Amino acid sequence: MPKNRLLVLFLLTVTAGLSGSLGNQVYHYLNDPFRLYEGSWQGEGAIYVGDKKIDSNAFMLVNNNDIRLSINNKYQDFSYTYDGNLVLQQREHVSAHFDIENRHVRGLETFIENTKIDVPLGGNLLRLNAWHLDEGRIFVEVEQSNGLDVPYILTKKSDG
Amino acid sequence: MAKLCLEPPIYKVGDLYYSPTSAVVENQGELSRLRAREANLFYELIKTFPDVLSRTSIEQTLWKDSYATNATINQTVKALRFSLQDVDRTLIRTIPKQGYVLSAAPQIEDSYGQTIVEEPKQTERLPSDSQQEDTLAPKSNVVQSVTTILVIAIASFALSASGVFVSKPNRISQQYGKHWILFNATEQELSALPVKQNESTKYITKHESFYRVCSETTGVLECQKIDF
Repeated sequence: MPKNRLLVLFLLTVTAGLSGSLGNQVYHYLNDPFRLYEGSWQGEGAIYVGDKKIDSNAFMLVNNNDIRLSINNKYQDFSYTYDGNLVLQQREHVSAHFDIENRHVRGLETFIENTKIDVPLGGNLLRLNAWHLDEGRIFVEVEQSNGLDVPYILTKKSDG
Repeated sequence: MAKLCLEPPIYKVGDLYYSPTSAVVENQGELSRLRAREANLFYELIKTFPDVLSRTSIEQTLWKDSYATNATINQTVKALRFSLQDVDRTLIRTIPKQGYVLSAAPQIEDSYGQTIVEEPKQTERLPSDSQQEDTLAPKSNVVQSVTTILVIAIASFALSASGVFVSKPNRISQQYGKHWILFNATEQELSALPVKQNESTKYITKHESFYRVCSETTGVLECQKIDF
């Protein structure tokens, strides 16, 4: 085979490889969940403990490859808060599963004391499963160690 | 570089090979092209052999529409001898008062292989179309190669960027009527779900022993567990 043919073949292979790699990076950038879902999300749910209904408000902030989840549970004038960072474990076509790290619970004991609602102590956020519904809406299901799993529909409030 | 070759018919005259078609002569492996007048004169000598080619015949054949003096004919014969490297006049003999004759009998050579060499030393040809094509060919090849590379680059970039080469996981949520089913459900399971089409939108997840069926009421999501 002539040398110039070999050169052209080599250039074709290199070009195809480089442009394919570049295209792949563009695809991953365009489909990066942190970019797609960047911003603040909010949704309301409810927890039933016995006959008492506790209003639950979830707030999620996606920013710079970091997802922070905050859940505020409120009964009358009393509330307690769960906080944690979401770490992506598995991503599927329209759903994702996260572990929750750096978890903090604030005000739970005071809440129990004031409301006499028997929220299991030692409960904490465990995992979060999320499904993309339609544009600007995510269904999330927050699993807690005390069995009080709470789903929310988060809607986008701002772009971050 | 122009290509010289001996095109049939090829005559062997002494140690020379000559093609009247291309006016190319091979002398000791070296090819050269004769000028038009010399070529015609040499061919007339071949055709006339073994007879003598008279000056009158030369004038009538080579200068049909004009005239030639003796000096002109002498000059043409001298130039032909020079081109054939026949300086000692052994190949083209002068017959006094008659004309010229070849000293060796011309023979048709059928077995002569075509030879290709470089530019002739003497030529009347202007650069031909084929010569121009020769110089243009590398340029068009470069353009074609660059175009091909560009097309390949754009195509592979577009295919990769569109996610063709990325394996996509199965979608595990689906809308069943206006309800959202957030797990992989079979048709049978879908029809057995505890929801009706005329109800408000439900969001259903599946757990180990129960479905969680949620619906939105004034912006608040409320759920209930329904055992299998």
